[in-house]
Amino acid sequence: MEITLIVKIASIGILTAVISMLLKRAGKEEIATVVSVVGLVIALVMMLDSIAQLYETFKTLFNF
Amino acid sequence: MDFSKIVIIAIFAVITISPIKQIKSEFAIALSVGVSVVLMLMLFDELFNVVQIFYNLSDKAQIDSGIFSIVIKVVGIGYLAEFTNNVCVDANCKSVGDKVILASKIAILLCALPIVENLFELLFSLNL
Repeated sequence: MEITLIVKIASIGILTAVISMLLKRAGKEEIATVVSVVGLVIALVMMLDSIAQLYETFKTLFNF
Repeated sequence: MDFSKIVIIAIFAVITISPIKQIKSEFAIALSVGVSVVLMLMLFDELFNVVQIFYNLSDKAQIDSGIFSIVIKVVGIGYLAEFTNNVCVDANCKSVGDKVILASKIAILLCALPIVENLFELLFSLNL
């Protein structure tokens, strides 16, 4: 279960990198930056639920 | 929580992080945060048992559970601060990490104040 998260984020990173490179080649600079920002946001949102779960276990474990 | 699983995941993650650092450095930081979160989650199943055992021991020794929960809270704050500091240092923002460490020290101090208070009450009640 854990490795899928790592592989997903890595694949999103590589995908956005390739797409932004292609867009740069095609001369569309601004779309390339937008694509990389969107990719980053998607990766962070995917990590959001595991971070929320971590925070939840922290609270129950150490009774914050 | 078998230890070998954690080792394998850590090595796999480091191997995936290193090429991404060249291609796109933002994802390297996001990936390292994700990996440390995942590893931390895997560790917590064991920590629950440890905390439970400590609570039983403190009940047997008639220690007031309020004091003991403060000790556990301080340990938790320490873990969280150290986790955040490592993430900040990874993203080479050392100053932010130091602020987090300072904040955790203050939080620990605030947690420990009631214990110090009733220690002093105890001393004064002895009216030496």
